[in-house]
Amino acid sequence: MNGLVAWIALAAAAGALVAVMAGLMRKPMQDLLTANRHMAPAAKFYGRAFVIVISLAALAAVVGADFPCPQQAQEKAFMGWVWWTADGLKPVFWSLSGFLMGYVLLLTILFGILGRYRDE
Amino acid sequence: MTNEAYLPVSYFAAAAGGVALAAATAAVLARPEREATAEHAPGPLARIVRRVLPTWLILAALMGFASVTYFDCHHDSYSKIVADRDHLVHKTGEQASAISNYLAVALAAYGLVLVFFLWARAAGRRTARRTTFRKVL
Repeated sequence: MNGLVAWIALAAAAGALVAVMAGLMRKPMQDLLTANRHMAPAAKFYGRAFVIVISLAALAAVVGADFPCPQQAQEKAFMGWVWWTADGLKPVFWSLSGFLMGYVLLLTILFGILGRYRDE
Repeated sequence: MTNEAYLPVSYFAAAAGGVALAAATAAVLARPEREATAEHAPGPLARIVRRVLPTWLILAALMGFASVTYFDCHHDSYSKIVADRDHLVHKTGEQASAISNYLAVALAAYGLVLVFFLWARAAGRRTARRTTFRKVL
């Protein structure tokens, strides 16, 4: 039971992190992608794909978390589960930072290629 | 449920879940993708780019699913694998994790393909405008 609560806390923390990242990136990404008419039709696709990519990255890290053996789980105190949750967040941070960098690189390539075209 | 029954159920459920997740992702992105590829696009290329997304995502999900093996140092035979329920549960989680990871990478890679499509379209428009301008002159 404690393990399930700890896993739900881990999933909630990862979900909150994804929501914060999506919220922070939303406006600048829209501004960047509507800079000219060559990029504008794809603005919605890239915005939505970004949210899906970081959600999948967080989901991958959360469902891949290792549960302790039943023997160890029974011996765990409250702080034991807090440490387990913190340990589970480590791959979430790694995964999110990696995908965030990858996506920013993708947007940089997009802007580098299409940003030089001007609307006429 | 016995381990003998749990193994095939969890195995095929993970595969079906992965395909469903890929199909749902493709469905969510279908409309924005159509908008991105529709306007003045070269017809056949736009159709290819549009149709490739669901296939690509489903293949990525299946690739992630198949990348997980049940065998390791302590589980080198079917009888040892099926005897250990924790191992089976752990492997199902690993499959779900791999499916999500592969899907995320595939979607980001598709974003890069779309960059080149948009580039080709922008370059095509520019060439068309120049040709028209020269004809007018």
